[in-house]
Amino acid sequence: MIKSLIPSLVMIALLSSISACSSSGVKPWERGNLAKSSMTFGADSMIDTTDDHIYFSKEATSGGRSFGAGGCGCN
Amino acid sequence: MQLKKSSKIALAAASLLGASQVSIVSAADWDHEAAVLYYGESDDRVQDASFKYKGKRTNDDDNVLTLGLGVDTLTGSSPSGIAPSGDVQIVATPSGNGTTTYPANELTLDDTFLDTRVDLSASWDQSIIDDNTRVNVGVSVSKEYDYLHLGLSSGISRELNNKNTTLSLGLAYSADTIEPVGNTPIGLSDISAAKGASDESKDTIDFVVGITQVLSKNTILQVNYGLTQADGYLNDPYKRISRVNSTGTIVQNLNESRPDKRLGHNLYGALKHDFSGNVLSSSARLHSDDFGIDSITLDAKYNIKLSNRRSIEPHLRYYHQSAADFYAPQLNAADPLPAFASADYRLAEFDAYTLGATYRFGGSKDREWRITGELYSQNPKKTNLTAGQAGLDANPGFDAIMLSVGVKF
Repeated sequence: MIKSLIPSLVMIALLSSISACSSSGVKPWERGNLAKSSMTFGADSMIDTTDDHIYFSKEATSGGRSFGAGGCGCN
Repeated sequence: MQLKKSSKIALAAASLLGASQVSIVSAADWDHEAAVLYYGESDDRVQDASFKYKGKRTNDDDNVLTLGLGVDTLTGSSPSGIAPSGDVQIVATPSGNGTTTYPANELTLDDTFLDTRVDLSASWDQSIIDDNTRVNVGVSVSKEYDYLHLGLSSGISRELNNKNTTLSLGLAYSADTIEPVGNTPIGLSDISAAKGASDESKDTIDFVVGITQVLSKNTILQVNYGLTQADGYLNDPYKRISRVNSTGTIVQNLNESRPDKRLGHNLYGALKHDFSGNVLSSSARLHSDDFGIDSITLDAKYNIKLSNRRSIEPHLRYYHQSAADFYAPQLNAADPLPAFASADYRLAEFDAYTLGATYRFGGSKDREWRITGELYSQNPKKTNLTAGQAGLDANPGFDAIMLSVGVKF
């Protein structure tokens, strides 16, 4: 079930980016949606850093959106 | 938007002072966020209860001070690395202060750890030269019973192209010290052998360069490249690995051993798109390092607006990693010892899935609450042991539940 959804989500992301490229050069007065916190990278940094710390503890790779999480001798 | 209390006070003060003196009134604002989290693994493995706080102060000049505090309390058990057996095993604990009895035909779990971790962080972010260029510096420290982390970070970003493009550069350094209970084991020595130094160190340098690009009035893209180099003691001092003969008898247990350098690369892309008020946040990360581990991470969240102050955000994450070159669930006793070997389940090949959702709602006094519930499942690739260990699994995987409640105020 989860596996079958992943390709669809990746396709949605790719198609969104391709369609969006046709209208670059956004003017300041067109930024209403971009100003929303949900459209800001890192707006929920506490969730991001908490998740990153858990995955750092349980998986062999980390980092990406920022510096690699860490600072622990995790089990 | 409702004005914050300090802004109201500032405005009230300004009105009393009169218009000619308004410019001298400061209206610095604090934004706070706090959360509690529970993380629990199946089969009584690791359980973690934690509290997080973040305070962010923005002053009139748009300079930002951020302070963070976290407290984690860990209990439970973690796989020891010792191979499963049809016989009961009585093995010295990593500290050397006693023995652990592993039941026959079960995963060998080390249940002797209990730890509290406290972390503190502070960062400062401000513009320099002009409003389009910002710099930030940060410090972090965390302490566990046997581990100390000290970190420094810095970054610079510049907005270009009418603020549609942001270039960023970051550099971080951390110096960690580990003081294993009962001193540091020597790699690939017998677990009963004399141990080494009382403490060891690890230095890590992180470098990140990125670009954030507005693609349309509803779409924004971020791409980062990251390089991480770690030097020093990279072993887990509490993990062991067994030498097993062809009939499945464990003939010796060794302390694990990993290389003392690791260089890794990350390529990360994230995209946000607003679908008429509902926002899709998706990301992909590719990783490769000289431990031989390659991984891919795909992540998607879809924020669905239920009303002005309520939303729900389903979350789906997929992760796959290949095994480290030196990973083995156990060693063949007939073979010569390799240079490095680890049976740490985190270095194995596996798939992992996260499925969950966050519900956000507005409370009184402009507070924004969130409740998050997620399930995490780690599913390793099956590896065959010896004929004498038929039906036993050195790395069965696990499921975990993550629950958190947070508030911004």
